[in-house]
Amino acid sequence: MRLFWEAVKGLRVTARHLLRNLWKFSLYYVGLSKDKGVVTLEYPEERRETFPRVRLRHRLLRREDGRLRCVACFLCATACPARCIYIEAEEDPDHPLEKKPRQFVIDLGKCAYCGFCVEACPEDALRMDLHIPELAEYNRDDLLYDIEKLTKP
Amino acid sequence: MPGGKRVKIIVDGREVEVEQGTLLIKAAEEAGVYIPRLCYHEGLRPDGNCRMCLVEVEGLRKPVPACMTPVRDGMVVKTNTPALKEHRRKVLEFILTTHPMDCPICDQAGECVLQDYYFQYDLEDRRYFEDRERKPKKVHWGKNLIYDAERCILCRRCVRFLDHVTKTGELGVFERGIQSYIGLFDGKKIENNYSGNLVDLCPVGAITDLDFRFKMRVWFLDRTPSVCPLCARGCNIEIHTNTDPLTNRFSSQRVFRIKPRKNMDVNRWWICDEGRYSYKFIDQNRITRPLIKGKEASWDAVSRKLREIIGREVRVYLSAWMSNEELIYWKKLGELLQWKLSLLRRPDGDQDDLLRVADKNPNTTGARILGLEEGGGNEEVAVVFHFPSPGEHKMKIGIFTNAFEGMEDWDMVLPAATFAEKEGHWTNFQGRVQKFQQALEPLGESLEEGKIGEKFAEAFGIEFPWKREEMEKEFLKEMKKWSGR
Amino acid sequence: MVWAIVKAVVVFSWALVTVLYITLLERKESALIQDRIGANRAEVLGLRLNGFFQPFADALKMFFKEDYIPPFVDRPFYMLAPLFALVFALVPVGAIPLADSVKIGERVVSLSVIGSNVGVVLVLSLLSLGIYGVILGGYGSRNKYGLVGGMRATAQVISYEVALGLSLIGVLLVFPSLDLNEIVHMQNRYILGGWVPRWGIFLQPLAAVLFLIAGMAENKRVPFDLPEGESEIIGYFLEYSGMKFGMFFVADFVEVLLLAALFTTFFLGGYNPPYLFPDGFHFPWGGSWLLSPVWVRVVQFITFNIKLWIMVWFLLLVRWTYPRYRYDQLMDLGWKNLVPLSIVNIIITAGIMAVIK
Ligand code: SF4
Ligand code: SF4
Ligand code: SF4
Ligand code: SF4
Ligand code: FES
Repeated sequence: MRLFWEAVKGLRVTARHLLRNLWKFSLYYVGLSKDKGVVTLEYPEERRETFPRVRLRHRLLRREDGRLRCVACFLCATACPARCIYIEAEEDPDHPLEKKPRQFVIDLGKCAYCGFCVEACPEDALRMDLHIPELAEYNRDDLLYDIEKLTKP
Repeated sequence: MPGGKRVKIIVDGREVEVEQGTLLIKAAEEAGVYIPRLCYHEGLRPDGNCRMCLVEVEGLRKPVPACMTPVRDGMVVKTNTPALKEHRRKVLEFILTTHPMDCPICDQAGECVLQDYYFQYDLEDRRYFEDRERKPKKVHWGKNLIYDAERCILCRRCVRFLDHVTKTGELGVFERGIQSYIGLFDGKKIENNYSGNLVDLCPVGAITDLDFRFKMRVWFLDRTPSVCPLCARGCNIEIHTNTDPLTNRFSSQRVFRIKPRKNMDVNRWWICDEGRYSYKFIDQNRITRPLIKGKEASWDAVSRKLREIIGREVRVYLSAWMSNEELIYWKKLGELLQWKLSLLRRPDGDQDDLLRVADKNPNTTGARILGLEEGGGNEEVAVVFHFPSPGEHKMKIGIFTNAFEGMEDWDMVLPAATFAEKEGHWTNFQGRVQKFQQALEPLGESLEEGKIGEKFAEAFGIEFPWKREEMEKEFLKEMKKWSGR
Repeated sequence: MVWAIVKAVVVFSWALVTVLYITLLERKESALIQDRIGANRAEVLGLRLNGFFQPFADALKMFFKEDYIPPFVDRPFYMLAPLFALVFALVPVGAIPLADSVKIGERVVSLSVIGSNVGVVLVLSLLSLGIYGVILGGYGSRNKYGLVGGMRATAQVISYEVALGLSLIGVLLVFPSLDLNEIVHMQNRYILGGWVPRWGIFLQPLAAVLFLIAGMAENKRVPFDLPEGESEIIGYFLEYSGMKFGMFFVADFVEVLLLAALFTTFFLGGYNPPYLFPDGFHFPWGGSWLLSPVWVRVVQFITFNIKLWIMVWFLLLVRWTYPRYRYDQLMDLGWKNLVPLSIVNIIITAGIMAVIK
């Protein structure tokens, strides 16, 4: 019998949630209240605010003179636990910084978004502060982000 | 000085017996104690300018540089007292006040002595915030050397090397004090045959290699001990490779550089530039598939085609670039099939009194031990290794590593693996049998010469599998006979 | 005959539409219970209506999904199973009276598809046939998880069949008829001064609870969803996809509908709202509101639907409240609690009846 009452109590909890949300959401739906009552965010229209320190898509920064900050030191590629940063270095003949990346590719399909690459970078050339969480492609190769994609988000 | 007087010293509590006159820094090494150093190199005359190697000797009031102090009987040496550590920190801090901290763009990073000591001695933050002294960067010193005066710690190893080892003396120290830098004497360029060693000698990234510059970070390289094939000395080398598609994604280069390996009996610490920079043939211009009359074919097609030469007169031109094992395997194969054998060699070239010898083949001695001699004939079929042969033959089968002109006219060209892609031994001009190890997989469909021999044996219907270890033993037997003659 | 076909078409389309919206109710109700919104994106002509068209979108999706038949299955059984499941769930719905029967001339036309005078037996027997779909599905899939699911379902349904039948005996003692329509009629009398209807739930409260529990167990839904056990074995429809899976899925919800309808019929006075008599409303406080027979049927149909939806709502609430039983608990509940209780119920009821007589 005690069990029976416990069961009824359970029903009461769910019914309470149901009725309360039904009431609040109905009011909201017809425009009588601002409070939705439910936690759902209707994603493409509503977006959750991202925290300032959140790590999302990468970008490569440039110096004042327009040159990439990156000097192709490979430290990010070395630190990366997913080993998804591919770099090819080359001589930068006209710049005092001597070295620049000819190719710089991050495979976001493999990336774990750990941020180690950003931590490792001695030139502050790489950041993950774009706050763009969308990353869906039909093709895996489209997830290979090269310098162009990384500098013009 | 063989037979010199032996003395006993105590380094950090460990007793060691060394020859009298040995430098303390070496004696300590023998005791298993490593004394930090920047300017000392065992192949160079000690200079004692960096003061990293200071040690305390009992009975002396001040620390002494271990690289300049010969041992004395009964010396008691301490290398690791707090005072010494503090001293080394200060030496480093002084160097680092003017050091550019270029590590991200410095090729030396990862194998830089200064970097290592920096971490070892925990110099976290700099305390000197004045403007750094600006000095010339990216100075071409001729051939493959690039000098960066800002990174230079003025240890003068480079100067000493050129003065005492090659005795060409192109470099000197210019200016004084904080402005000093290493520079070329007027009108000189570093063009000697051992210039590459400066890159290895320089403890920091002040001298870097144009050939290796920015190609690969050193910590991605795999190191395989090997032997240089470019002359009969057989300098001991290390092949530095990277075949990881993740860190070497965009280039087809597999070998990135050649470094010397210390062997006091053969090459000591050095190698010549020819050996250092000739690695490119391993990756470039290779034959990767068998060619029949200039057209690509499969190994199966080759096996079928090889049956055509059954019963015809054959001369096999073995080469002095083949390993001992391959030579003896092919010799035995030739004996079984009654082929005539002769030897091909790269023509002799320059020599000097440091390392390079005139014979530009790694294994002439090995071939001689097996009784192979140069020469030729006019047999119908020729099987030629490595060098386009001189003789007149109706049918020519070549076994080559790299493409060459006129390749299309050959009846068959079979792709062979280079020395970096197989394992074996060479006998150098002193008669030392030296092992080279496999650093890479054979490129494309190329095969080591022993395996190619196996194909020949199969085509001729005889059972003679290629077993390298057995051939090695066979060769050593031959060698015993030869040396006991 | 023509009438029968017309009735069948009308009733079964009613049933299927109701089922569609039961699925929507399930999604919405679960969402609200869990503080979510639930499906609300299906759009027709720019209208979303908070998910009103979702069931149609779901149905459409089911139709156009790839119907993959794994190569290793036992084809005849595999194909038959979803059909069995759906048919044996739907047919009993036809036996439920949605409104009072009509007299057209001499003939009495019942407003259920199968106006049988042994409706109770019919419904119960068809209900137990439904298990064939499940067993065949599990067996025909040639998949050990599917088979385990099928076996569990069989054991469970057979056990609870007993409790279900026994709990109904009490009701049948009070309303001595096997005709569902007749049972509804008998509930339309009033006690306690004419205020309270003689609904089964008031006369047989214990039987009502037992019937509900046993019925939910028959239904194989949470908390009795061991045959499905989606966190462990996925169950008897593991190897099904596309519309075949859809049929299992629909059968599931038809059973919910059926259970709600049966409960309404047995315990909630069926299609009759309180105080409605064949000629209109007669209220106990005096006064009445007379209606023509056609309007009475309409009111009855609406009432039936309202009661049905309340029951469905309750069933879904239960489904989203409790976690799954363990297998031994399930068997304990069936054999050691429900069966003895329903026997006790029978004895007490019979005793009281005897005394009253
Ligand atoms: S975030 Fe982590 S996993 Fe992603 S690229 Fe950077 S280091 Fe690699
Ligand atoms: S760590 Fe920074 S500077 Fe170095 S390669 Fe990566 S992005 Fe470029
Ligand atoms: S020489 Fe060493 S410390 Fe100096 S920049 Fe190069 S790697 Fe860094
Ligand atoms: S260039 Fe290198 S070897 Fe020469 S003095 Fe400078 S640091 Fe020493
Ligand atoms: S190593 Fe002894 S002073 Fe430089």
